[in-house]
Amino acid sequence: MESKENQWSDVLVKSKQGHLKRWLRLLLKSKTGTIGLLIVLLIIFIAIFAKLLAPHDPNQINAAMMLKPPAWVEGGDTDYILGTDNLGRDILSRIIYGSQISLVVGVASVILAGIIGIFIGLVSGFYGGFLDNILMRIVDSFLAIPTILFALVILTVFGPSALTLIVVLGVTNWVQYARLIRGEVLSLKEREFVRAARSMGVRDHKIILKHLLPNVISPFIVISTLSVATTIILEASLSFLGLGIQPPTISWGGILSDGRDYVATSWWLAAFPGLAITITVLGMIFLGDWLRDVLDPREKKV
Amino acid sequence: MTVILSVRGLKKYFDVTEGWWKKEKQYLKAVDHISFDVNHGETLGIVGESGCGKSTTGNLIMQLLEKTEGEIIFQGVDLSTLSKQQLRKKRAEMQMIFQDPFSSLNPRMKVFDIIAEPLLTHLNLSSEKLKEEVLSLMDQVGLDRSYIHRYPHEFSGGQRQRIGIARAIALQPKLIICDEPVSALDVSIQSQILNLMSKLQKELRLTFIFIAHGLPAVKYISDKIAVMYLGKIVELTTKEKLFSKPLHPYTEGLLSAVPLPDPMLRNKKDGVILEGDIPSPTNIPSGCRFHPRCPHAQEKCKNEEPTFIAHEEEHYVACHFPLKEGVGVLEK
Amino acid sequence: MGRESLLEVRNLKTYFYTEDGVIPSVDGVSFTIKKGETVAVVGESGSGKSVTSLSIMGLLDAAGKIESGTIIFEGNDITKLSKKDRRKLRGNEMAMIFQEPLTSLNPLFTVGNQISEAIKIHQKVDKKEAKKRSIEILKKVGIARAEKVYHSYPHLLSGGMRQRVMIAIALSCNPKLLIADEPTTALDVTIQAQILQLMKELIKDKQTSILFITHDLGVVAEMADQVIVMYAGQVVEYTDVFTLFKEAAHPYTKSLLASTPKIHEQTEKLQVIEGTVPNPNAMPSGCRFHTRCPYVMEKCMNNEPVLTNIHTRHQVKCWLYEEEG
Repeated sequence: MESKENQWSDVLVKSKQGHLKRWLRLLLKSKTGTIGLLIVLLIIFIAIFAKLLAPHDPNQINAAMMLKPPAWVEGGDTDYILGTDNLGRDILSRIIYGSQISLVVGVASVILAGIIGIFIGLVSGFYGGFLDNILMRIVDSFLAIPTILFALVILTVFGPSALTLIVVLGVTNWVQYARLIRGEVLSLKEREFVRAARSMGVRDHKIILKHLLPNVISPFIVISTLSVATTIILEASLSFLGLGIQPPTISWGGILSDGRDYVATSWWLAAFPGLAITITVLGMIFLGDWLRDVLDPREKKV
Repeated sequence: MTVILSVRGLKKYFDVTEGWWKKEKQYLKAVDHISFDVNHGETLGIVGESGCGKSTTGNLIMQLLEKTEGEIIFQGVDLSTLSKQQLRKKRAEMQMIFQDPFSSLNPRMKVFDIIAEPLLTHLNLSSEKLKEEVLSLMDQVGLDRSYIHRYPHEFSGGQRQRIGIARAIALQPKLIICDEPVSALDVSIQSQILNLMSKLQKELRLTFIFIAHGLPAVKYISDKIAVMYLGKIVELTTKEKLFSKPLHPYTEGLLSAVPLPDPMLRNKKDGVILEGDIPSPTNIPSGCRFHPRCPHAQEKCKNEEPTFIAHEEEHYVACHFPLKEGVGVLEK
Repeated sequence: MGRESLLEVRNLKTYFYTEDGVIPSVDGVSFTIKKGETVAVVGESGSGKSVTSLSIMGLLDAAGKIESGTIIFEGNDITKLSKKDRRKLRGNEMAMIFQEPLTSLNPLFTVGNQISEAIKIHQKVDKKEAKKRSIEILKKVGIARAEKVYHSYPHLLSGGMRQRVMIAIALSCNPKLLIADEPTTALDVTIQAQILQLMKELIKDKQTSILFITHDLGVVAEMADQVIVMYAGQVVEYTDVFTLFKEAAHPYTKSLLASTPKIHEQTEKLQVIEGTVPNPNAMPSGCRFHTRCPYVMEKCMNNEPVLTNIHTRHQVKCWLYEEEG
């Protein structure tokens, strides 16, 4: 028995350390990954605890405090660290509250796009043939539609609201997932484990759910972090154009839009919400890059 | 001896016509009219170099590819007459072992899930019974029970191949198609896997179709061997006859091409080195498709395709001029 | 024999620095290649045979580093050379052919382009002369329609043709040492026979030394003069090819021979070596083969044997022989 033990004791190619430990080690090794993760966690934290963190009511109008510059600039007030807008509302509090809607819209629309895209991609790639042809032509025609114009039209027709925004962004975004997932499925389908499942008589839906889906999730996660970032920008742009989130709900794009007329004299109205967007987007991109390394489906061989 | 699998006139042509405006269709003739029988409990080795159609044959039998023509009769039933539902049931009786131990296992599934999958697909077992079954399969293929919750990437190639074998025998199939199951493994591991397979064959009375690109790999495990070249079987006979007295010049060439692990035999082999390249299966030579490389080719070979006939008992060959003094490697 | 030695590797250690720690891929390897001699390095995956060849060529990737040891090529320690001098050596004095010829040829250039490029760089001749010589070499490696192949792109050629082209490129500058890393493993067996035949003819003419990396003992028997058997980064047996096949001494070599399929013998069951090559970041203590060795003794588990001469020119790293000597 002793020798039997011995014989198999060193067959494992990789050491037994768990996934979590490996992730942590890879995270600490990548500076940008760490920064990205910290930024994203911070934004999520701020969004969740906005009520506790915001020093003021973000919608409280204070005529006495209009257009105060940030605290460290001459004429600033330490009570309003990042200054106030033309109605005397605290910019910092507005940015803190604005993070909620930006994140919700970004994440929800990506989830919606992901669900549609993954489903279409899996079906299209797995069945191929005629169905694939039809679906991919639909994808092509979606790609031909300019996103912003499409969003403008829909938002004008259905009226701007957070929900419409999520749906619009989701519907315009799914095509990129569908294409990505289809490509992954096409190569997975040729892998022998899928052939093995087919040869065993495993039903199609089981093959899709058990063999294909788990193997396309990581590429999806990688590009979805990047796409949350672009969606946040898109949401800000639409809100800036007045077609996104409507007051009194606060969004970063909305803050920018509100301050549009005063930017020439009061730079902080644009600078701080802009900065908030930039930092969030950068954080997401850093995180995405790191995730790409960690979740690389073509597992690193020893 | 009962015949478990009969293949008759099997063909698989792939349409490789480029551009839709071309009138003339171009075909890749991967498998071009082959016929053979496999008896219950024996092993048929199918050997040939790249492009000979051996893997396509395996996939056709497994119904992973649709045939162009011909019959595949498994346990007396022509598989193409079955409905989708009936075929799914039939699949429990024929399984496959794959070449690449790295791509044949789903990287996101644990050993337990991989081996349990065929059982879950075809049987209705309680979860305790299922686990018991998986553990006993792991014992059978020599996998330590403690590995049950590990992922494939934690194993070496040989261990992974054992997982694949456990999965293939889970439903106690009658026929297993082994598509180059050892060619990706180290020599010392190859012999472990080959020995495991022949042990299982005896215990479970399995029938194997063993596909390989070289003769050494099939020598130990096969009873009969079919040699394929460019989509055709050129010679089919028992292992002993094939190794001691090949009739087809291609078989002779294949045998003498194998470097023997004995330096004393260096330069002393009386066999021939086949010249030239293997033609592409999209552009098959006329007449006997081996004639451009054949050292004995004559005028007839260029124009007339030889038929696949029994030259002696149990010794089929497709050649106009079968070798009289074919040089084998086994001295008898 | 008394031939002059061309390459001497002394106690070579090549380690890889990876995210899983330091991996000693080659751990104290020594051997000599004489002029005109073919030395085969045999081993399974992970034995360090390819890393040995890459260390000699100076083609290790960023993670690999020669820790210690010397590689003396024609009297000079080439581990001490600058990158520039090393590059000059490659192609001129030593050349390499790889397992997969398709990935070693640039898909964007014609075959002729790549051969004449190599000739132009190393031999300093003009374009016309380079083309002339390229076609000559292509003919020499057995390519009948050399002119046509000269103008083809690599993906249009078959595997065997590509390997011929690789050999042509490698030999274009008359190297003294040719390193062949599994050059026939990816080829069909009848094509392998052609390529081996070709290599034998070419060295007979030119007195080129070859370091032949392979896992196939059949190929070793066919090609080699001297054989080095590697296991887990170390040399376990080192002798001439006839002695190795007749009187293999190390238990690993013996088992390897026994588990090699022999199509010319009537045998029913294959011998096996149990277990697998150990994980490079968890090497067994003592003799690295002790976990799989059928003759394992108490001593083997904790003490590492040294490579010793059991006869003239027959070195074995095993405790079984240590005591006799």
